[in-house]
Amino acid sequence: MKLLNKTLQYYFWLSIVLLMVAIPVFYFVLQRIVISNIDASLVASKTELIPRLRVMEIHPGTPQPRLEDGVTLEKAPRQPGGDSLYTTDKYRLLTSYLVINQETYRLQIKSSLADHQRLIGSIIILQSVLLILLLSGLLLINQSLARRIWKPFYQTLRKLRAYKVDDPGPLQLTPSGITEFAELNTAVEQLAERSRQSYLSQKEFAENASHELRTPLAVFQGKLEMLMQTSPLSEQQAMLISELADASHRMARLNKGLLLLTRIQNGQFPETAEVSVRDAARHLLAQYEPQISQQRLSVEEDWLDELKVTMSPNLLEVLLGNLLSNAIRHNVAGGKLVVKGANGALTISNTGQPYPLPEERIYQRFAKNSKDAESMGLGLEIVRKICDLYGFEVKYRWENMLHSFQVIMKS
Amino acid sequence: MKILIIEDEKALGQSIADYLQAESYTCELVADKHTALQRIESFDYDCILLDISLPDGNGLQVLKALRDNNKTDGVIIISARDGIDDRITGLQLGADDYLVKPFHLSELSARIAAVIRRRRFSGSSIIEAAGLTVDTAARTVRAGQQLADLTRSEYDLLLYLLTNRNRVVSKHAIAEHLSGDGEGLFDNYDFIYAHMKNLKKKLMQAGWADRIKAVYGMGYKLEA
Repeated sequence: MKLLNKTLQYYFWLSIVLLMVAIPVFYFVLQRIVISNIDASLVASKTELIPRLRVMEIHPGTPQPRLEDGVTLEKAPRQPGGDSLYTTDKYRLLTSYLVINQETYRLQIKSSLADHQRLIGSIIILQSVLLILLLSGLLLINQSLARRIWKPFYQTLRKLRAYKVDDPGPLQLTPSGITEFAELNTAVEQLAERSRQSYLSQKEFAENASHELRTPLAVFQGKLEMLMQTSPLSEQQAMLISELADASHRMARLNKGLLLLTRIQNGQFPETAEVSVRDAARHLLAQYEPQISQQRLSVEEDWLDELKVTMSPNLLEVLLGNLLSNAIRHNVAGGKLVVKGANGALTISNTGQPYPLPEERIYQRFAKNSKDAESMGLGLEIVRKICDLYGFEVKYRWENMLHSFQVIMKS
Repeated sequence: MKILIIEDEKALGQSIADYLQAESYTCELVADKHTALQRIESFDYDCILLDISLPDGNGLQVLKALRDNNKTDGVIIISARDGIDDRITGLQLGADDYLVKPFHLSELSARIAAVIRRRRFSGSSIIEAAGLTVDTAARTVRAGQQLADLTRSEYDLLLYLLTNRNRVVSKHAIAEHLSGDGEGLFDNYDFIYAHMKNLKKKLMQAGWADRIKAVYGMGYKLEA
């Protein structure tokens, strides 16, 4: 739930409660005021009537003076007590006992409540309308104001969402005049800058370490080659040297892969050209022909179009090379390799292990999943980094006993 | 033939020198820019191996000094940096080749041979060794008078072994040489074996006595 709606929700409930309580209270208060007003006017009428009634006493036999509507005077048995006021369903009634010429009369003055009720009703309706208008106006103002006030916050949020730690520049947020947001922006900027710096230094470290490793690796490899030249050389020694050479070769390759990764992340492949994925894939398949025929793989190609993309030709070759060599290396003897290009997407499928790969792990560095102990586990990470660089999407699927990697290059 | 090795990592420089000396190259080893500049001023070399990061400056300055003095020594840069920019800068300054560390000594030796071949005058494109005559300009191979019809890979393989003759060339070096950057995607050297088998068969059909020996699964050696 939005913070704005949350606060509005409280305002709303408060308004409802206020309306619920205020309208009846208002009604009763108004009614009481009106009734006491009526009572006062009834009493006033009575006080005004009494001198006129006294005339009857002074001049007995004179007919009863003409009385206004709502005033009745009739003989009645003597009742104790003074005046009484009560409400019937439509009237407010004042009953008073007078003694005129030793006779007791009951004087009743009534006043209609209907008019007053209507008045109260319209006052209440007016009040309610006013209250509701006031409240909804308040809510509206509050909402539009809040929207304007929260604008910097949403801007910050939008920028944060789009921010990647490997962006070239530092995170820059729109300055805000509101202290809280200004503080938030500063804190966020500092945080982003710190992560960017540590990312940069880590990247730099990876790059430097890879570079620095190369000279000792070269020394190691050179000495190994010199060791190969020594004679006499026993078979046992040759085997040891051979294993050392394998290890050194793997180190060199790993080093190369790591450097390639940092270089992709550094955006050091700025040159782009329009290249045909089909041609590049065919070229690579021809290059891997020895490995393909050795595993007796059947290769199926299915191109709807050439699949032209604009990217670094070097990286395209790395991308395809990694995917194709994976499909060959993790295949089974006599298996299948399918290369499909259609609708801006390239799909490379292969037979292999009879169970799907754990999708969440396959792009992680060094997560290897193969009988091939020497697979270096950088290949798919490199694939994903290249895809990230050009906004491609790479998907893994396991269907009909085929492992498929699909690279969506154009949507 | 004289080779100048400018490399501050002495162990590496020494390995290079030792490896190349078996090939009747005379190697001189220097470890800093200052000495290197003195040497190139006084002597001419057939090939200079140049490390870029030297303790007292950038190796590219040596290359620049060389070209400013209109010297035509062949230069191969050996560097730990393999960025495209680094390569372009080096080659633009007039280097003949660019080799990234770590490299195989056999690869270095093949590159040196290629640079020297390219820089020498006409008629030098023929390599005669081990009973074979290779014309590197026409890319033909003869055993005696008989022409052997080799594929591109087989030719490359033979030339590689020939320039590194009498030394063991590791299977990794051969794989890398034959498949360039694509190597490393496979941990499979059986294709070398297949190429080697075909190469030997063709050469023997042309009447050549096989002198390529497999050395304990470590690599191969062409004995001249």
